[in-house]
Amino acid sequence: MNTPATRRAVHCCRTCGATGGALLRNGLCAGCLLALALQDGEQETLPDPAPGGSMGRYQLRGEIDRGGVGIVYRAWQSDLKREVALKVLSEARRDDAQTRARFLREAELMAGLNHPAILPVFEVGEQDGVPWYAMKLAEGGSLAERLAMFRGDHRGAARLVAALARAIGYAHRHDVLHRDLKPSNVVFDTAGQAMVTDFGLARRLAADPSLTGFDALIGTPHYVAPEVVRTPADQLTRAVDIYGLGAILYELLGGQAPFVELTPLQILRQIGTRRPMPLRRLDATVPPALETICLRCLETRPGDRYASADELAGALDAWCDMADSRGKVLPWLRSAAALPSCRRRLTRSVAALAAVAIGATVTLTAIRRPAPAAPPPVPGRTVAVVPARLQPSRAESDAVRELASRLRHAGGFTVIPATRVLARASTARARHSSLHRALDLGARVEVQVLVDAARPHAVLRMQAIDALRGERFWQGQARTAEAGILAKPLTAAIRQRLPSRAAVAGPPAGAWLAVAEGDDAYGRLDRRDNDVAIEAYKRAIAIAPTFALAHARLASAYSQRSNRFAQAAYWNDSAIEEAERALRLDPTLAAAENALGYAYYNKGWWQRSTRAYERARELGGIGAEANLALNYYGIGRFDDSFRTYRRYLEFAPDDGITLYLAAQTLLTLGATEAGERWMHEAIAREPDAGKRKLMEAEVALYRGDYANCRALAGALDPELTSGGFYSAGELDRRCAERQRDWRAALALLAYDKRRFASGQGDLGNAGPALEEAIVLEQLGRHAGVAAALPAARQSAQAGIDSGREYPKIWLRMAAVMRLEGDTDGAYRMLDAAFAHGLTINARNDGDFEFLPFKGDARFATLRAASLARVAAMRTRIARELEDDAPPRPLSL
Amino acid sequence: MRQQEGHAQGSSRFPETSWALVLATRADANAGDALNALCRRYWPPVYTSIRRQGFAPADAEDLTQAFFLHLLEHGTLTRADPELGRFRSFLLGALRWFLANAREHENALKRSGTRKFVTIDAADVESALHDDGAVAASFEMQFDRAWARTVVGNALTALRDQYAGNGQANAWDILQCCLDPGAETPPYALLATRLGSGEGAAKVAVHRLRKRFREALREEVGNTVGTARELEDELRHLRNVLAAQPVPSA
Repeated sequence: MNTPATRRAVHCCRTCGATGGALLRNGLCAGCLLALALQDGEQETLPDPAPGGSMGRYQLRGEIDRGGVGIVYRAWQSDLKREVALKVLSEARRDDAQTRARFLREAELMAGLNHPAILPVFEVGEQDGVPWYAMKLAEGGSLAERLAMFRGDHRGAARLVAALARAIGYAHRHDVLHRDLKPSNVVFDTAGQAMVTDFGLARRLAADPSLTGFDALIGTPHYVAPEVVRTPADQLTRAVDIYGLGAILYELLGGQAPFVELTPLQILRQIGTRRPMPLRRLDATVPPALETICLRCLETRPGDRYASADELAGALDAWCDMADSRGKVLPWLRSAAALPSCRRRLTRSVAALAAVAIGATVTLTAIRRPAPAAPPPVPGRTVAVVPARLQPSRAESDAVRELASRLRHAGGFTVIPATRVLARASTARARHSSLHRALDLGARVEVQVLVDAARPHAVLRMQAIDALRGERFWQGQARTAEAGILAKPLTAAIRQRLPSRAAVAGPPAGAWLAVAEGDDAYGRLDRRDNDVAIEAYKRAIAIAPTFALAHARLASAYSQRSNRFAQAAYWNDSAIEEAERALRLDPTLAAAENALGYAYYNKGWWQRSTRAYERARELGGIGAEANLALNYYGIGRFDDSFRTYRRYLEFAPDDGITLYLAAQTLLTLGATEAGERWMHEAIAREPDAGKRKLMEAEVALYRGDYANCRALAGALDPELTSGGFYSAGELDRRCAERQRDWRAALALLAYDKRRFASGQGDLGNAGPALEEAIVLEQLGRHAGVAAALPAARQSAQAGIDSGREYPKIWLRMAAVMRLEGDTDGAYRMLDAAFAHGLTINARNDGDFEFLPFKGDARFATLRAASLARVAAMRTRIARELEDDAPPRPLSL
Repeated sequence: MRQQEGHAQGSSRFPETSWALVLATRADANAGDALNALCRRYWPPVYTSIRRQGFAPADAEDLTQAFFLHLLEHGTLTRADPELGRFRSFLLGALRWFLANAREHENALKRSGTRKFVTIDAADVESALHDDGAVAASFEMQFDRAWARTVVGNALTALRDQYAGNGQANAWDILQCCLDPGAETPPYALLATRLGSGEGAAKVAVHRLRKRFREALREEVGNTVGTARELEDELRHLRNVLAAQPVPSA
């Protein structure tokens, strides 16, 4: 025996004779390892706990296949002198009593089925706690490998499926559902007889606990009836198998499984009528009658399919008879004897697949056959690399491909091919949640990639997102040339984040689907879709009451209702309730904190909202940053606002609206040069001409060019807004006031008064009464002031009573009090306003709300102090602005 | 082959067989990916052979990159056909031709300097080169020896990743020394202690490891041949080239 040390010195392996460089660095001898590979499998022993190489009366001879549920051996039955296939429950599953019980029960079920087209199970047993069963050895391989043989052979296909249907009908009469029919579950013996196998033994979508939840939705459910995901396992009907038979027939006739062009999400979500691609498009010679039979099996609603497998068999037989009588002679299934000689040699010499449909983790050696359907990826451990931009640059597409390749090489999880990712329509992405993308691509983790080419050295940025929760858990950036250094930490982070095999996947698939449907509707930002979204999220909660994400989403949908569609404010309270419920269920769910922040924002509790968004950001919540930045702006923390916008834009360079908001922040701070640069970048991206003009008007406002501002804004629809700042009419009015053109201001105010009186006004503005009073005071029309004041006070008081906490609430009341002559009261209010984040800045200095205070020494001091604070914020971000250009779109 | 011609089932797996990779280099979208994967797997024998021709390590590295680049650019891979035998032979032939016209490829040398397919970690290969100093003679022989080392190494890596992916990286570290049936393995009692399990379980773990390695290596080599019979032949051939004297065939 050699020790590694000995071998190194001698450079010659005494065991196998390998010399010199055959010794690997870790001391192993390549020669000996090759010898290991050459060994025949005869001395195979079973892993713990079975002793020796036997199970019952069967002598194990070699391993044929290995998959997620079990291992299949070739075994010898000494008493009957025949070879059989023996399937053993794999160690990974043995500890699960439920799986074991099911394995045995169903093996017994299969053993009780006696039909020529059902693979016979001879015996079922258990040895040392290892369940096993022996079945016929199917030397002929599976249908998945023979699909090509049926192209053009319509009668052959029909006869085959009819035979299978009869077998299934027999099983149904014995109350056995297959539930997992597909080409790899149909096998052939040496005589060419087709047999169905693996009744309910392979993974079943609804019942197998390791495949509930999200994992059930990835993989290729082309053979699975749509109702499987929504229905509990014990409520599935025979129609499920009819669908499977139809899918097999479809593939035999058309050469591909039905609905291959759809994403898994789309397949499983089929509601209403969904037709697969017409068979005649795949093969123009497919007879219409046969196509009709096939499509009836694939009806979305179970009730629309054939009522029984026998009915289907009858329909196919009838078609065959008709085709026969027309004199067409087409070959039936070729037996193995008629196969080309090389195949015959192969089928005998190579270990035959006993063709149970299990995803092999270690595949067989490649042999010259068309490959079986690709096994589904390891549940849950899937990653997709996606470009952050909707339309990625060449460099970004390359980076996506390269990174996908590296991650795949690193191993430990499945990586969605870059081609698939890059082919996906990019426009859909902007609207959809990360959950939606996850279901679309089949990836639990999304790695977003962006190349920032605006800098002297192009920089590659990556962020890894847990797509189900919408949380970023890793990010990094490096110069593109050195980007390789990020691969290792990224891989480590992903491995840590992905669930281990044993982990339970969480809420049922149906709940995930419902949330995804809700997200789809929510993203459309439409009133009716809001209804749909709320209904969908409630459905998810009905299926899984402890599904925190569903509660969080429902909260957001309630907030959306209140915020965008001006519904009653009590929706905000419902939103808070749901968001808090979500947090109780899962305190680290970023989406819940995000929803809470949104709800608080709507209620006007901006400080609380800010804190919630900050927590969401800490938890990695995607999109929390944009909301947070807006909040910071609202409470006067402009430097934090700008920084947060910048961080957000690093991964969303296409987001024109956010760019605009960031520009506003800069301008408000008084960083004119940078602000105008950014603003012009935002303007360039705005597709709507009117909004562009409005944005230019804003720039003029900041510049103090009031005449120009009025010219631009005055030409627009007074109610046109952009990004939630002033409307065109408001801009026009405020500029008039700055110009001290009170008459013009009054005229414009009249318009607002009419709107407000008819209930169309923006309730947040609390009416034009205050503004009118202030303008009248400037004109010296004291009678008018006295007349307008009560209404002004009323609306200001309503603002305070509303419980909202943003600065303008107190500012307005302060102005009212000042006009009334209550100076002390006014300054108390003003102090409160400053305490809640009011600032006097480049945007609002000179606004009408401050006019009553002009001339007060006290106010002059406050103003100076506030301007100084803002200037300090500007200084704080000045350094960051130096080397910063606004995010540029790609030059095409 | 896993590549499914004619069955557009939308396989979600990247083709892993070498021949499938070769075919994938024909498809533009996948070309870069596939070529990178090919390079990553099979650069050592190419590099070794080039070094044997007398090139210095840095030049050999560049030429290796250039060789793979050349394969892609000149569509050599489009002429590859699994029907014609083993991938190893194909690559060997292509390399021979490439080196014979090395002068013409000096430009490729300069060009490929700006585009690296893979970071060549030459240390391991260099030491094998040194060890092999006195042994192999012919171009083909040392290419094949390097190839044998490479496929065994790839299989080990694949298996290690499998264990790591299952959260069993620790077990791998402890057990890998037991892979080699010829080597002296630590007593099972000691392994059991290290693994934190019983002796029976340790035995089973070792057995399972060897079995899985066998599968991994058979898959790795199987990916480079067209039929099952060729697989056996190839394994035997690779083992033979490593031995000082050929092992009699079974």
